[in-house]
Amino acid sequence: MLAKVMLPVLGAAVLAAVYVINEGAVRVAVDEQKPGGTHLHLLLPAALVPAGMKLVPDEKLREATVQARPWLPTIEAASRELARLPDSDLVEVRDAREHVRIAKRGALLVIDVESPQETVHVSFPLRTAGEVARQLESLQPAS
Amino acid sequence: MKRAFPLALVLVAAAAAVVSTASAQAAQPDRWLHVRVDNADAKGEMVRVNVPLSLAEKVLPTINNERLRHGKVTMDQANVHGVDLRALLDAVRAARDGEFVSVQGSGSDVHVAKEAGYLLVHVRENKETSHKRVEIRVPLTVVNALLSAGNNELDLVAAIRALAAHADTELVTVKDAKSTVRIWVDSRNTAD
Repeated sequence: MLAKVMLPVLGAAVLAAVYVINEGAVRVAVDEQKPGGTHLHLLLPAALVPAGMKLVPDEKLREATVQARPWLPTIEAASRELARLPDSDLVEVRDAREHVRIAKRGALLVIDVESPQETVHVSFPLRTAGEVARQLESLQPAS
Repeated sequence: MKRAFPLALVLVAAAAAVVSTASAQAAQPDRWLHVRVDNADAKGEMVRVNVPLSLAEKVLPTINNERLRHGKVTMDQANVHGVDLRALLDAVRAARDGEFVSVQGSGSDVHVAKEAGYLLVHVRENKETSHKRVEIRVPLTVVNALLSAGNNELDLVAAIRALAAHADTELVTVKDAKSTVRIWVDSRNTAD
């Protein structure tokens, strides 16, 4: 009896897990080096980002889109093109104090910044960036 | 036990879908533009940029900012530091192989030539404080593509397409006592 109940639940959970893994996750980590500094670690399933945007009031999204609008087609094109390329280090800049890396790893764009002040890591699925850009582009400009 | 089979099937199908998507994405080889800056001094500044030309080709037409529109740069006066760049490139394109400009000054020597399908520019500084050497080597097919737009425009997208169709080539080298800059195109996605 228990197996009859648990198998569909387990199946649905596995399918949900496969979907989330396939979509990837948005990860943001900021660690300030100073004593008492900020340590922010955020891990969000990417599948939730476009869905979450639907919950934001249209007016707020339109306002936010005004500045970004000229660059949305660029973000969309870059995301689509990068997604089909092999893993690669796109940009690396290092000096005595800072080290910045932008790389493509799997379906993710990964940005790492290391400095004496802080360490920042941002990674997000390229597909999500494209979807967000498309979603914002489809909004009519704020009147 | 009977229900385990469809679940396993779903898992295998999902895994296959993920793997097939990944392998399809990795299938096509690409041409890459590389920029590498190395500084020999103690601070050890270093820059590596690896840009797939296909990315530049797709992204440039989407940028409409100031003089760059739809992958073309508008040059109102076609004038860079008093030099009519378009007229200069046009003249070089039409000329035979040979050296066009050779200026030997107290500060630097400049040589501009056309040779075996390439536009070559060599600059060598002769100052006491600097012995910088600049070598630029641009395929003429790229120059032609650059000039293929209207009179007051340079077609960057056409130039990138021409560059992508060209064999591996070193475009720019700058060397001085402290640093080296290299810009080149090949089929590798790393700058090492």
